[in-house]
Amino acid sequence: MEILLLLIPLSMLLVGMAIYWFVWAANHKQFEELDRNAVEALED
Amino acid sequence: MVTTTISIVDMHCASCSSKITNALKQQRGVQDIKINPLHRRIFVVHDPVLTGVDIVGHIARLGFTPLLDSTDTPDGTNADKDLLKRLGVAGICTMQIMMIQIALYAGEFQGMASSMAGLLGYASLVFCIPIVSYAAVPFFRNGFSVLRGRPPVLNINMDTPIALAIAIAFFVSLHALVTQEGAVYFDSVAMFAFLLLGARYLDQRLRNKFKVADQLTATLPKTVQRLAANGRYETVNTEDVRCGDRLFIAEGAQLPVDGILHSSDACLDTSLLTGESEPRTFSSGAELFAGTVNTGAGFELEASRGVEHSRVAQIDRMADAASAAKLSLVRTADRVARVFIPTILTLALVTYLYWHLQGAASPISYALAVLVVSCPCALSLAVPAAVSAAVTALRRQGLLVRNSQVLENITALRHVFFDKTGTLTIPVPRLSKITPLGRHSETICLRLAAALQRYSSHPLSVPFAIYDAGDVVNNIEVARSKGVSGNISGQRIKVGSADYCGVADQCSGTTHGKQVYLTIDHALAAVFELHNPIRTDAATLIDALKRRDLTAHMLSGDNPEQCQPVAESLGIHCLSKHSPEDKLSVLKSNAGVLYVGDGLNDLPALTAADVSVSTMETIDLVKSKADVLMLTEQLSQLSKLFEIGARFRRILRQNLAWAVGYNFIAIPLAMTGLATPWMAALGMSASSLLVMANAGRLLRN
Repeated sequence: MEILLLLIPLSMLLVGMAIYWFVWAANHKQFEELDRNAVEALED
Repeated sequence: MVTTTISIVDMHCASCSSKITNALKQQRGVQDIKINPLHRRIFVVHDPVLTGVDIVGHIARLGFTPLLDSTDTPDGTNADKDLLKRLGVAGICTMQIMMIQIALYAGEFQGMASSMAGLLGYASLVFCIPIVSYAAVPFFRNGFSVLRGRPPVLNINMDTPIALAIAIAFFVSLHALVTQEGAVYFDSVAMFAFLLLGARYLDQRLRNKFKVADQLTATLPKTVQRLAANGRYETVNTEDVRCGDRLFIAEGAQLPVDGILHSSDACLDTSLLTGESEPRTFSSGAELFAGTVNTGAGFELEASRGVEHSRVAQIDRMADAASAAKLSLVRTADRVARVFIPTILTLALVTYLYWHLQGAASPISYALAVLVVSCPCALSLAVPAAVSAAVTALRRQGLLVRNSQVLENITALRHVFFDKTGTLTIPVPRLSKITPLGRHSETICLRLAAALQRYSSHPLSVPFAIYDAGDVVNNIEVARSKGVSGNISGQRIKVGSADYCGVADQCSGTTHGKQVYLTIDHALAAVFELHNPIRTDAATLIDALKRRDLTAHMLSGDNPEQCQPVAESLGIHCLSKHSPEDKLSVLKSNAGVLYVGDGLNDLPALTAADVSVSTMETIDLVKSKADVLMLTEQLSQLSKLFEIGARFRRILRQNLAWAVGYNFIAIPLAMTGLATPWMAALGMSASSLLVMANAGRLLRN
């Protein structure tokens, strides 16, 4: 089970990246106005 | 570059939005424009040199009604984004902690080396740190807030048990990790924080939906034409208008301030104050109000006061004051929390002292066991779970709850006040009776009337449109709010009011509904009767309300002649000719009030009522003031509000009773040291699950 000594820190790294990208997406308005682009395509 | 959000309520179609975007793109300083046709909003990315007011001015000149939402970081969406980030972090960390915890649970049953358990424990600690240091912080801030005063008192509210539960579980687990004795509960901390943040996020999203400029005064035009010293008209900001200024109100423009009419007669749409969009005539010297729309020729207005003192601004202030006094039952949950929290803290202290005096090796573990077992998880979930379930149940019935605080008020309602037009009646008038009085048949009369009505923008012309057969009309004359005349096949046709058609002497007294006359070559040919039909399910709803011991009333700004017949046929009390201020005082003088309305003149009433309902067929400003929005046209669905409101109250009480009651068994067990860690974990999870399952009963039909 010593492999856990590698796997756990690795998962921490992955979680860190996940949090970073999630916060980036939220800050760059990726979660806002989800319908707009779809409806805009119909308007043309 | 800044982004300004602008709501344009009358941007109905693609041609409107392309007109606006093309006009704006030509302005210097505008870099990009994005449209959200679904919510009728545009986002303009521009140089800060160009102000939001300028952009709004450009759009208004095109003939639209723009509302400035905010610049760059609108308040509503920022709070949403903040909560979303916390929720996301909590979610990601919770997943990791759950995985590790499964291994630890397995270890409890199968046996695990303590070094391994320690490693896994520390790993889950690391994943829990982002949760307690970032994601759950709003709960700590609210739950542990302190009321100023001498002495400063802890403000115990719904968030206090949550903050306590998270803090206790975290520190107990930390303690267990460090002393290598006892179990860790980081998964409880994580799950708890995540679920509650989720509930809060969804609640806030609904609350911010349709959020738009808050006040009636925000819908007023920002600029106006004022007579300058040199005799020419110049464009000035509305806020610079003073008493005595001479202003020019063009055809189709909205009055920005109150004033006295200086020209000859004027024709205005007073729906902002009366709810009726049928134009009214005012003679020279009459007092006119900001917010009304000029449907006739342009006229001169002498401002009688600045915009901050206009009637509309006064209505806004009254509405604000009224909403502060909105019936808010001392939330049951808060009351429970105020008793519960100090009690368990005292019991924990007592336990500690007892075991300390008994000479126990680690008296603190007994005290901690008491805290963990009584963990206010169930108490904290009791309310949000019931609220979320009730909101979902209501949405399935076609009622969108924007303000979840009013759910507790539903059972305290005693009176229901309805607006007339658009609420009890269908907003569009219908032709109810056609009386041909001459040689011509009904069909011909309708055709002729429809041909002329093509040129009228009066609300009463709408029902004729379908009878239009495309007849050619020459020599058209339009007299606003009076009638239209023209030549069809050589005959002089007139359609309009009795006076306009010259047949005033021939009509009978006022009957239910409005009358439109048709004359052919000056001879009366037909009388058309129009009225707004009462919604078919209005009667069903009134019956349902009566069966629940609620008194139904009509509260309208329209004339008694229009209101009485409707009220009588529904069997309800009628209050007519009530201005927005009148409506407000009626609502304030009654306790337990539900108000249903959809017009701008209903705004103060919607804010002040204990529970207010509006429809989706209205502007965002009205929608943002209503507590509940009806998603369907079926007025009778409103009875479901009472049904589900009563069930909500029952289930809320059950949840709270259980959350507190289960402690009567659990705490004595913990105090005497009989509670093992697995019992504590089981107790916490089971009680939380029970509370949520009970709330789920609201979703069963």
